[in-house]
Amino acid sequence: MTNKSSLDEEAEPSHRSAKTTYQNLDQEWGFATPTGTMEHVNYMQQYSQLYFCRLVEMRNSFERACHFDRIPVSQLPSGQVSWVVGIIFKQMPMKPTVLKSYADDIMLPVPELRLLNYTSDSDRVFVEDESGRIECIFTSADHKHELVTGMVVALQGTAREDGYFYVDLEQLPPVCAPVPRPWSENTKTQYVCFVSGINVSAPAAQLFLDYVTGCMRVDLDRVRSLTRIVIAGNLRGDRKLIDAYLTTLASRVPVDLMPGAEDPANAAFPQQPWHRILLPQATAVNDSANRLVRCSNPHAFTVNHCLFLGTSGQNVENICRFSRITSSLDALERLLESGHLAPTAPDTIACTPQAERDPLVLRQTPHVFFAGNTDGFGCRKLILGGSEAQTENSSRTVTLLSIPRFELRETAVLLALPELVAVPLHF
Amino acid sequence: MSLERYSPEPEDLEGLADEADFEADYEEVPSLPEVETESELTAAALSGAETDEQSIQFFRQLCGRADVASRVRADSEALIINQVTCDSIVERDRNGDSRATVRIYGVTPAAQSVLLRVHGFTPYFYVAAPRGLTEDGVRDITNELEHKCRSMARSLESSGRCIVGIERIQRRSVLYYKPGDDENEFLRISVCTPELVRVAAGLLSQGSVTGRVFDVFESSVDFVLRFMIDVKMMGCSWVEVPVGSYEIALSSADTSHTQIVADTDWRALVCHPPTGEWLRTAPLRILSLDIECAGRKGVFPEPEKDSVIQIACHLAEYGKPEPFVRAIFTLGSCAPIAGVHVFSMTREHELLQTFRNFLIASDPDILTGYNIVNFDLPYLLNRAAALCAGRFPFLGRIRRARTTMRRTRMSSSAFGTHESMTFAIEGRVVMDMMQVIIRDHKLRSYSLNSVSSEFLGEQKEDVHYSIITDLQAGNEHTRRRLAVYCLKDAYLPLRLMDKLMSLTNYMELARVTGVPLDWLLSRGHMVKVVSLLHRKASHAGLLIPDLRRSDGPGRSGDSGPQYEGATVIEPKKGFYRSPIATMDFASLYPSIMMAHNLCYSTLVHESDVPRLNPDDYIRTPLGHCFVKPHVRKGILSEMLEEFLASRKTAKKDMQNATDPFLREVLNGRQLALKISANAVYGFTGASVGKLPCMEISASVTAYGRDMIELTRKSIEQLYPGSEVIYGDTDSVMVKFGEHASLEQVMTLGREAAKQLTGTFPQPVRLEFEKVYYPYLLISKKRYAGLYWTNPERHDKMDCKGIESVRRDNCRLVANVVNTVLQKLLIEQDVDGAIEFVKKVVSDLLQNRIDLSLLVVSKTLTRATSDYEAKQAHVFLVEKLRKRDSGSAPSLGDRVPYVIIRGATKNEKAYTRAEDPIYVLENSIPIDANYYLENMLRKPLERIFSAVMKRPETLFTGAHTRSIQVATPRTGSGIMKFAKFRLQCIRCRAGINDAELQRRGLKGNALCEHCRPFESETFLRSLKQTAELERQYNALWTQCQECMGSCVQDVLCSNGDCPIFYRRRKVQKDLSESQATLGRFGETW
Repeated sequence: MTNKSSLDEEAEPSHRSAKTTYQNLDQEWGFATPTGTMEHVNYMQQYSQLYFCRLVEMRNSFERACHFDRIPVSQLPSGQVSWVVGIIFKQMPMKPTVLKSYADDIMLPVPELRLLNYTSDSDRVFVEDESGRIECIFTSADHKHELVTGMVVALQGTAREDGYFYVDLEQLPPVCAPVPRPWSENTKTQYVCFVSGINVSAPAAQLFLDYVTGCMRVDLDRVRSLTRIVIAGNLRGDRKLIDAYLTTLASRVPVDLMPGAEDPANAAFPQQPWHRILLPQATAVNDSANRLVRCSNPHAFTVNHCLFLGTSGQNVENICRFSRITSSLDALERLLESGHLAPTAPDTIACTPQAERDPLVLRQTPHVFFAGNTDGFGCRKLILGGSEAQTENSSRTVTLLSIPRFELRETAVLLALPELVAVPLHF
Repeated sequence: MSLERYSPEPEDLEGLADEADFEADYEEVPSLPEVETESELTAAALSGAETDEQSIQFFRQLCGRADVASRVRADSEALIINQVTCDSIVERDRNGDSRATVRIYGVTPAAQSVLLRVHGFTPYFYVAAPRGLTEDGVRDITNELEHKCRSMARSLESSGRCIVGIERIQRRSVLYYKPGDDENEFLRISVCTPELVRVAAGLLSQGSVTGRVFDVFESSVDFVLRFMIDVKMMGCSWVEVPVGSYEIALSSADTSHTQIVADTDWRALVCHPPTGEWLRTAPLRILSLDIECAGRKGVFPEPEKDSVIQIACHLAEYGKPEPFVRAIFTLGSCAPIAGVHVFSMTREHELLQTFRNFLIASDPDILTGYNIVNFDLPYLLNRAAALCAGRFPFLGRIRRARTTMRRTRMSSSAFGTHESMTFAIEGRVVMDMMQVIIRDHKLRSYSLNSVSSEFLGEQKEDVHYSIITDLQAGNEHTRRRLAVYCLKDAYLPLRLMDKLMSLTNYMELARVTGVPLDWLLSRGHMVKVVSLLHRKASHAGLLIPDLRRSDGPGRSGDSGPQYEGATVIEPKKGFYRSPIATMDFASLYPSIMMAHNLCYSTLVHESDVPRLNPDDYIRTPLGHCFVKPHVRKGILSEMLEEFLASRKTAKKDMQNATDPFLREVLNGRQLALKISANAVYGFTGASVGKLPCMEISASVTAYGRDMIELTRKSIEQLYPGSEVIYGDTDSVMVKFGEHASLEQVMTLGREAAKQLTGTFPQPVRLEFEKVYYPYLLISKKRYAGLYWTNPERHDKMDCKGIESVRRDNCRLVANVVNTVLQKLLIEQDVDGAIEFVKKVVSDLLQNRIDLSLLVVSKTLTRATSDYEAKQAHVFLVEKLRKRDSGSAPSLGDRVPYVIIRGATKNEKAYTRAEDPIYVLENSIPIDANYYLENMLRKPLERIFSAVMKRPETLFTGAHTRSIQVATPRTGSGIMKFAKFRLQCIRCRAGINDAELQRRGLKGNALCEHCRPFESETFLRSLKQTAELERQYNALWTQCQECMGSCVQDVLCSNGDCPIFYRRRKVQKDLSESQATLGRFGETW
């Protein structure tokens, strides 16, 4: 795979009966992908510009869709109900700080206190725009635990003499519905398989390989209709084995390989694809048919005009640590509603500083929104735009998909297209 | 801006062996030219026709004190005030006679501010009357003194009399017990003004009156203190003026800014001792302020030239942690700030005047801030003078009383010698948190950054003044940015005051010692004992002599104490892995003074000893004699006994108190009592103090030494096998055998302490306090150990005299020392500690130590040309000026530097100081050897000498062989001519790019021989990049959090912050690391 066009090409595997279209949409995030539009990162800058771009872009979407007059934080009139739009900043005493480890004057590795959750009742929430920040007081104390740093929200409330902003109403950014998919009853069902956190030397990983390649000779109907396997991060084990595993896998089914938190890749979001040096065998083949697509994380692609968007799970794990959201499906829902792939970046997830635009703003609503390396399988249909009765295959529906860590659950996820029905596969 | 311009470096505080503690005003600062105020007042310098009165009225609406709801009715209610401070003035009465009036400033329980003018109290002093003085003799003295005084005192051009009267009375001198003759005759000489006390006393003591030299008593007591002593008023205490004995001044608004002005006679005052219901405190107002100035590039702001551009104020009420009004005054527009009143002015003198009017309207009792005494307040006053803003310097509570300042120098054994400003701001107490913290805490650095990080656990953003000017020159948003920063600097002192309970503790100290609150900060320790001693003496009918130089007992001129100090039991150094019990004498010196009745009034002159019954006196180990209590009880021991009893009560009340606030007050009380008791000994030993008495102080230490020695003997006798390994001034460390367990040692310690206490005279008490286990004894006053008070868990790691707090060391030393101690004491892993040090040594030689750990910083306190000795930071500043005069540090700046390798071997270390940022950016090699030899070696060898045979092996041997040096980017010498050639990142061989391409090899990271290792090498680079990305993220988000904004750029230049250099370094490392990754070729 050497040029841009090859990625967009339509592929028709010879032994598959149905016609499948695939398009990789990673150019937003990957300067290391052949189609990448993102520039190399300039680390001499700070994060302020990234936040600023996020604020401006998302505020514009509020202004297009909502009908209220926004007032800059610094000009809030005392005692009057007003709207502000700004970035949330949550001051959390429990949050680990790099300062402590340096200030203690001890050169021993301090065992990092990793908590599952860093929220506490003394958390304080601020809302900030370029004019300043103000501390928010919510009517219910629980409310602040649903917010995380980096979200852009609109708040209606009253600034009082005491310097606090008393919030009555909160509004999340407008999220538009996904583009309607071509849909017909007699389309033949095809499958996309998701897996994450797989250790290739574990027996279950071998079973998985045997299953999807058809060597196990079970469930052949579905196996034959498998159009793509998405590895959502954390491919573990001996590197030579990984290389061989991927080579075998990709020789039978097309594979999207995303880097994850534990993979040999950079740490900052967006993570860049696996380098060819690390997979000499699997990348040696001339891959014009997109059999092994090394993707970025986050990763976006379409299969048969169905838009997939997801990550290897860092965003979901992080939001669960810094809010009181506990399930990964709830976290995915919250992320989608807040219009951002990872609002806690850069605050608690490493990400690259950017000057032009925040690459993690959710600009197009996907049909399937997924995250890897979660605690368990889960699938939820989220109907955008409120409670009015909607049919399942309405265009306003987004399928949220939680892909468990394979090592933990020995479970992969099989998603049927075009119905978007997910089933777990246990090994 | 809290520029620590005059902040003393800790080394200045140390090494002053003198027990002295004195104050001297040596210079009136002539910085305030007299400006005609009357003409200015009408000129309405303010915008439009607005006058100060209108402006003050405006601010009163915002933050003034609650109106006096119902006028105080002098005929039906008593006036009750919590006194804050007092001063005195001289006024002319109807007859044209001068007389002194004491002004008490305070607050009523309902938070109204009061000025109480007390009339009728006359200044006086005593002289010993000559034998056989007749009434005529008295008259002669009076007349001659009157005559001489009038010609001396220039200020009294009036017809009034100077001498009010001379009274003959019977008293005793506090000095010496004289057997037989008891009371002597003294003359109490009353004069009309405080100034005349000094004049008259001088004349009498010099023999200018009747040709006789008089012994003078109590003439050196400050008039206000004299008054407080006589009416029994303590500092910050409650004063009541009963119904009908005071008058409310009707035209009060003409004289004072306080809400109530009242007049009374001094005899009417009822002063409540600060106990019971009078323990409470009125709701005092505290104003914390901070100013920002627009400095020019490379020059520290000078009030003659540089504008004040912002003034931030937080107004709080005592006992409430959060301020109730926040205000900022800015020059030029400023975007609004939530919760803050922003007042923008276009002209600088309007800015100053508006702030002044705000201050008057808010009427604070306490002014605080950080380094306001030596920076903000002088700057404001000097700036106002430079602008000819004649109406500005009236910040006090008395109208038309100009606020002045003068420079004072204070030397004391406890605080060192330093210069400071003192202010005359009538009725307000200046309590600079920087001074408070310097007095009460010993820290590596006293910058507001370090102090907040120490006590509040947070770093403070630090904006360099060159950036401040840029922000000011920007728009209303950049000025708002600056305002937020300025407000934070005004807020932190309030938080520190609250957190450290400073105001409460100082008020309690004022109440216990009877000294006005403001004196506690502006004067030395002595004044507390002076106040206590006079109070006690006046009660006992004793007079305190004013000693002339080389006068009095035991004085040895100015050469300081000649007696032997508290010698310790020689330490048996080593690393003790068995529990070491530590027993302390509780308040040893006060106990000794009580036990042996040591006092001025019980000291017997050697010539009088034969006249005493041998049962009536004791002879101290040094041979001085003091009478026993049944003959005469010493006033010092009486005083100390009272302290002891009050402290016991305070502690008991504290336990019973349910109100947390009251508990804190009581805690402040018991601390104040402890401080006061300990100050008494120091007072008797201060050779340049008011009343030194070496017979007392030397005897006290001699007794102390004997007791330590006796304790050692008794313990080693009582517990065979036990050994006293070290003894300091008031404590002994005992090892009870090799195999005793922690519990056993605690039991033995308790038992031994109890048993030994019985053998000492009352109230000396030996207490078992703690066990050190393990214990590392390095030398005299240098030791470390884990501190146990219960056998389950150790309380802390306790280190004494070990180089971890000195600021002139780099952070590496403190880090290594602390880590070593942790390894030795907590993990008890000697080999691990040795390994660790070797690792650090080897890391240092291989350039793997983080640069921020190597930074040393010193303050440029003088112009570079004024430094005599060559010093690294001074040399560097000169170098930086040549490089770029605009950005070079200037007077008052902290200069951070690292020592780099020289071009030749013989370059002196000070010439090799370099700016850390410059070093980072240009990869200049560090002189690892300098750090090893001059920084690490001594402290480490000292520690390790206790645990290993040849500590020098830490710095020699195999681990020191591998040396790696950074390759400089720019630089001097040969590197200027070197051409950079691509190197293989694995084997560093040269790479021929064209050759690689010809052979179809991707990337140019590796030479062809290293290609088989491509994936390992790549992976290593990738891991490094990932780690750097995480660091970059952690560091820069931390800075944003500190700064309190996400969308603004971080501007902080706080070099004290441990992440300042790291965050810069990570940017550079990451850029390089990315470039390296790129050399492996495309991902595809």
